[in-house]
Amino acid sequence: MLALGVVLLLFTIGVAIAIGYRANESVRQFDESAHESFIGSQAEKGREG
Amino acid sequence: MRQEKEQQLLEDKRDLNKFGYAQELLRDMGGFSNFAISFSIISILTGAVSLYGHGLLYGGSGMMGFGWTLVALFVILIAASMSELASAIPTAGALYHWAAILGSKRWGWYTAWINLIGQIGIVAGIDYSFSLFADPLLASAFGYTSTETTTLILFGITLLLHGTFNHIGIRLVARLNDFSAWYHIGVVVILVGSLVFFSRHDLQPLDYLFQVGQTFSDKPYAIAFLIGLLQAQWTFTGYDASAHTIEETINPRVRAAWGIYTSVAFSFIFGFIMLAFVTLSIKNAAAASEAENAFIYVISEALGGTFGSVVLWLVTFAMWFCGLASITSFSRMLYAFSRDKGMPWSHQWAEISTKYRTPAKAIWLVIILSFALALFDYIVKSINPNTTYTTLAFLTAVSVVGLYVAYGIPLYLKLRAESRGLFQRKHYGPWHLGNWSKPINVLSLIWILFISIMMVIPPNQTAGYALIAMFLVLLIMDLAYYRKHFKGPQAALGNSEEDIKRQEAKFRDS
Repeated sequence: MLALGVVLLLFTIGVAIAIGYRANESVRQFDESAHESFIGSQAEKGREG
Repeated sequence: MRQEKEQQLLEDKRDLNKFGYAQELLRDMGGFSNFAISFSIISILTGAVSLYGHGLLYGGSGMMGFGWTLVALFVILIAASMSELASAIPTAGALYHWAAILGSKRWGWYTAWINLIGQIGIVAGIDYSFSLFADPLLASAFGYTSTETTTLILFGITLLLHGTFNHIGIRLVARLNDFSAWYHIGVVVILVGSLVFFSRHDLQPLDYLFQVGQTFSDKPYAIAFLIGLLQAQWTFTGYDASAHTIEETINPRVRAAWGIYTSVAFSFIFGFIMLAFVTLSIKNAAAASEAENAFIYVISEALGGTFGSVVLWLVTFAMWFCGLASITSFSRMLYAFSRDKGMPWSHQWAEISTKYRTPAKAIWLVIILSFALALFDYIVKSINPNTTYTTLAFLTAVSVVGLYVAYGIPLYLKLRAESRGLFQRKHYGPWHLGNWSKPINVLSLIWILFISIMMVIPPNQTAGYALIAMFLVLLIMDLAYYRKHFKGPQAALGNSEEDIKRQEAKFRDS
């Protein structure tokens, strides 16, 4: 079970690092001009109407 | 540098104003403070320590290796999913606000109340844990006898202290939380260092940490292991605090998102290191699982009674910091929900102290609700002293289910809004997962569903009954009044720029 435990531990650390890396990339590449604030479907429907 | 900060504050205020809200709270928290508040509430020295005996009793030593890591893996996914939403919709209502605008105001209303139930459980659970640990220590120091009554009195005094600190201001609380984060790491380093130095020749072999099949309970191992997961699952709660303090954080779309994520990731690492060395120091697991406090029993056996007492004091202080931060988080959630008139006497709880820039009345409501929950339990136990459940197990199960259901609802609604084409790539904030988002959200939801069921099966069925009763009360409240009268955060969008400016002017020179 030791091998399985070590694999689970390393896998969890790997997932944590991969997500952190992916998020960091998205923060660096963020384009404010392409962003739109989400204020909800009802409000958006209201604005369209 | 100062000009950059001023510019950022202005941008953050504009982002908040887009949702129709004024900047009432003092925005003064940096990235580390935002991380520190969630790290302090997760508090590996509170959850993992106070429920160490629970984990060991049900899952044996393998609970610390497999159980902790397995729960952490899924909680990392949940935290990443929540970070995305915090970055996209940066308001103090957080879970409630996300659910309201991704789904509907009624989804939001239910999410808020379920979150609120979980928050009462977590504040009461943490400060009650503190009192359970501190009262015998103080009793031996001052020569009185520790009883349930003295524990309740200490619990009340602790809540009063926490309320006062929170009332006085976010600056003070943020500094204490910053210290708390370093304090937690420092205690883990001292503990692990001592165990390595003093008992390195007596440590169990490494595979002991991943040994499965041994339970000290009367349940079959598979079921016992799942019940034992409460230890890790309760520890990993409260990281929504980074989102609840989002209106007090500078550049929150990035910093609060990182605060949620890194608080979970670092708690996993430091928690694993601590649990691994403590578990490898076990000399007699059966005796430890039967001890009143298994964690202290193991430490005392490994390092001696004096060191055990020192660790007990160190852990007790960590719990105090954890309680302080949890009240900050809960009061902000209450403030945000009341701002949208979701509670009885909402205008009271939404009021911000012009002197301290804190939701003072919401803070004191949190104190009263938390004390009332423990008082209720005290009265029930006075009437029926033969009751078998423990207050801590009840409070922790209620908080785990309440909080995780509240975490899950906005994730489900986000997936639904995406499938309907309402929530699109352009709506993501700076912190997002791109194509990984959907599978991570789905896995998060599966885990939340699974863990919510596991937390209310026997011996924790009392928590399940309590949650069903609370849900029925919510249903009655909703159908009787709020269904027609609650306008949700959508109503704030009707506030004009002048309204917002007028509101903000009240706090400008305070």
